[in-house]
Amino acid sequence: MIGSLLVLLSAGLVAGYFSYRSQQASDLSQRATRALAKEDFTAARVYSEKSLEIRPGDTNVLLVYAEAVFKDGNLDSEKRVQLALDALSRIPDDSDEGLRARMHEASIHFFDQLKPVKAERALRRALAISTDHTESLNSLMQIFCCTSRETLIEPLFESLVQNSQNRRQTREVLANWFLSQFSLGTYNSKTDPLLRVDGLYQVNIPLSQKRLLAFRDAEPGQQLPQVALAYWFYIRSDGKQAKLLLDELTPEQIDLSDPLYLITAVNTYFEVGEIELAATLHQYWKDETYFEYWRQKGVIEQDYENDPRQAVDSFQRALTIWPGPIDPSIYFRLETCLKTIGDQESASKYRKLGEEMRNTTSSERIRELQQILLEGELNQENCEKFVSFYETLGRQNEMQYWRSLPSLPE
Amino acid sequence: MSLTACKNQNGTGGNAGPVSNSPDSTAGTSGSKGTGTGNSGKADPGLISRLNKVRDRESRPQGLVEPLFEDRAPEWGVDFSLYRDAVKDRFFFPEVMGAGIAWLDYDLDGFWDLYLANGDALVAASQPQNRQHQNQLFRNLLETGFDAVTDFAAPDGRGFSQGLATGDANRDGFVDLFVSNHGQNYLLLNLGDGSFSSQPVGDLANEPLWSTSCVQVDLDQDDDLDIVVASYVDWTVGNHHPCNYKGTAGYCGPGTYAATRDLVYENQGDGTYVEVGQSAGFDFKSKGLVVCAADFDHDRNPEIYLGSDLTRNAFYRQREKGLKYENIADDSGVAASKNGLAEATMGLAVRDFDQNGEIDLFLTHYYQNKNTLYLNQQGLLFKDASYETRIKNLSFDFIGFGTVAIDYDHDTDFDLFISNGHVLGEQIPPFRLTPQLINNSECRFFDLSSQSGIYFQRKFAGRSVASCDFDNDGDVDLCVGHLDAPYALLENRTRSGNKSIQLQLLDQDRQDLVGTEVIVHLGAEKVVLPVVRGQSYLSAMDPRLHLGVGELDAVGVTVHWAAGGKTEFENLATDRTWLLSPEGNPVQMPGPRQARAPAR
Repeated sequence: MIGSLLVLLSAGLVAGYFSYRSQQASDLSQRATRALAKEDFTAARVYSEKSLEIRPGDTNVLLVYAEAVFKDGNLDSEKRVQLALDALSRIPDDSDEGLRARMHEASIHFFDQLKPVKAERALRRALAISTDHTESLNSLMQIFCCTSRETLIEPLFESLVQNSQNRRQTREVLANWFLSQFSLGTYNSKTDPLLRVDGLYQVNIPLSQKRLLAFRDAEPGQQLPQVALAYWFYIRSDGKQAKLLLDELTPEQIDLSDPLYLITAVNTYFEVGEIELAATLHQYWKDETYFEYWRQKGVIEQDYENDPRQAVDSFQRALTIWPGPIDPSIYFRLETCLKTIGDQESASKYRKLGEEMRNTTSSERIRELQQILLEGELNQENCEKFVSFYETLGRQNEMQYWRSLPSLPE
Repeated sequence: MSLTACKNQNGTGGNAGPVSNSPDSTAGTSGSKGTGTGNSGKADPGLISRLNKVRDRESRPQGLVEPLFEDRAPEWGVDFSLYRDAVKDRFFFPEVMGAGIAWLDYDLDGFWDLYLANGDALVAASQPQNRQHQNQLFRNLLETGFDAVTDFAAPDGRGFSQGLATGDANRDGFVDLFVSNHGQNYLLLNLGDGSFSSQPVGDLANEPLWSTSCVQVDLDQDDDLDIVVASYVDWTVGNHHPCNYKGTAGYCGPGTYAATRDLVYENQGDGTYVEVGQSAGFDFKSKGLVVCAADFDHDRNPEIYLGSDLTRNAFYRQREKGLKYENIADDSGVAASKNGLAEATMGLAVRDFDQNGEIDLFLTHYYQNKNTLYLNQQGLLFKDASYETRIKNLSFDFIGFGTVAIDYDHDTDFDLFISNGHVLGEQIPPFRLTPQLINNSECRFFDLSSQSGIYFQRKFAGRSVASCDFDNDGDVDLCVGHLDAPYALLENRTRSGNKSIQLQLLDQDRQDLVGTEVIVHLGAEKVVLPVVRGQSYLSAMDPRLHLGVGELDAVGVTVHWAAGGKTEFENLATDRTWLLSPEGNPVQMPGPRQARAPAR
């Protein structure tokens, strides 16, 4: 009897102790949350640390701790990043905080560490948790645009616009989409200051190049930042520099499933006259859903295989995939191929289309629309300007989005 | 020696076999697009080998003959610096455009003489004209070098001179010179006694002010030479303003000023000219800087290519007999790059670079853009082959002006010299750039400048260039104009071990030889040498046709004359210059001699 009482008492004491500790952990957790809200990061860190001593697997507290420790100016920067990432890594994807943890990881990797590969990996995990997570999709779009992949974001845009809840969100998505495709510098100018790369490297290097240099230096040996930098040079017609950067990749680092690598490598090797290698590399494209696949195929058929007929088919396919329609060079190449095979009438048609496309996407026209996005009111009249713009490009979806924008709920 | 054409550069096989995408590529970029079939995405050994080969590839193939050109202007007595009336911080546009060079044998002694266009005061009243600002004539005496004979022979070469075009304008057997100006154009008539007299051409009140490159060519087959003149932009002292480049003032470019119409002066046969550009179909407004006349379609009549700075290039074909031309540049694919861009054309070299029997066009363009090679596919249809031939790869860091196609190493294919230099002004680097010597190896081009001699190590604000075998030693030399340094006389001292042949054509029945086509038979292979007038930049070349023939001691030559008919010449000894005429009796001309500079 006494034994039973002692057992019960002990159990009660243990239960009481754990109840007390649990309460203590909750109190500490609440204090940490309050301190975080007041931006007292040191206090938030200390409270959450103590709370985690009691409940090490508390994902909510781990999240608070990660944020607190990351922002705590009393810790040296290397340490706070390491501690924050360690804490976040302890939050499983399937926990309630999994999504936020992955977002937080992505943010640290990208904005603090300048590591787009790791950031993207975290965001992809976030999207595996919640496919339509707008913030993750937006962040991914941001990273793509900062790593020379603005031509690949159409699927992200479509997901974002489908998930927009109201006029404000839709407007933002449509504006970002427009800027990313027609004024990338403007789009990235929202991100670049947050990356704080302006003071790095030589003064006279453009900010966009500094950003890519910083990415490359932060993740040495990774294909993405190396190729993104090579693409930056390729797009500025400096094929020699692009080739040097591609040449630095070891065979082990090369991932042929990466469209950016194939886009950059095929185009660069072609530009510098290594046309056989460009043609060989093109055979490694497995995904025909990219406009660059068809554009490059057409170029190789036109310039390497001397098969203008086949090139016409490929270029016409390229025009059906975004951003093919806004690449005037495709129309002019079509013109040349069609002339070669004796179809002067169609050749003239494509030349006219190319000239029209060049006018439609001229810097003056883009500036005018950009001005509306940055300063103008998005009333019916202004939205119609975008409808008309996209109509010229043959983009039904965008036309519809812009047309319905004024009638969306606030 | 290789005659392999680049018209089909299909690869050397070796499809390494595709590798599928990785579904879990960390660098995957496909958004929600398909991510492939699950293979590794890693490069296979075949591809690795190809990548390594390209990575390790030297900048040029093995075995190319290293060029050697030496500036011997002082030794040969050519002392000339361009007067361009450059005033600090003024930035008058013509100051930065250079002036022309012409090679001509004005005294018919078989040694090519040199005429250099010069600038003058752009504000007429600001400085009195004096001999410092004259165009200069240098007589080639060979044994003792060049003798400055301007005062005696050609004292009337004045004005802000730009382009030069040679040709026997009055059919007296002596070569005359047309001089285009920023101002009144004129003709220097060779009087045959060693002197020239000046005659204004055109009506400045009704014509664009700024003429540039020019060419004398018989446009209407009436057996006298008409003149085609490219006009640049409508810049005048009155509408001048400097441009601002990130806070630094500099020269404005062509985008700031309007295009003007090009000119055609019809030779009336009585020593006078009438400007007929509009009625002749040359009605396309351009910012013309370079012009050439050649027979691009083997119809024995000239086509005119006119390169323009940031407007579409023009390509004129005779529509019907007489002075009836039409611009077919768009239909021919030579108005703009294959990406549809009107490029900033400054210079032009015209030769059959891919040895398919058709004349091609090489154009120099702006800094951090590309030079362009249009390969002639027959039927007046061209293809922009700048990428696959490596032309683009060699031009990004340069802004090219004058350019000539020469076979410096006598391997039968045409290499390129390019005079480079920027245009915005001294204070906006890079103003000076190194010149380029580019080897043509089976229609793939390799920059050999760093091995070509000290001249190529120096930077210049380079402009005009004209080729000529001025020492008659059987290889092609160059005269190069700079804004910022004395002109260079580049003697070709390349030791290739190969031989060459030079051909001078004379047809008493036809004044203009454009349309005449020369075929040199090299064993089983043949090379087509067209007669071309104009090209480069503001300049006139030595009209002799020069070709390297490898190790051959003799070659056969067929000439299809522009006037009709053909003449076969068998077993012409190489390392000689031959005068060929329809009558068929080849005459050996002075030289070749061993290259050497005269003692001075």
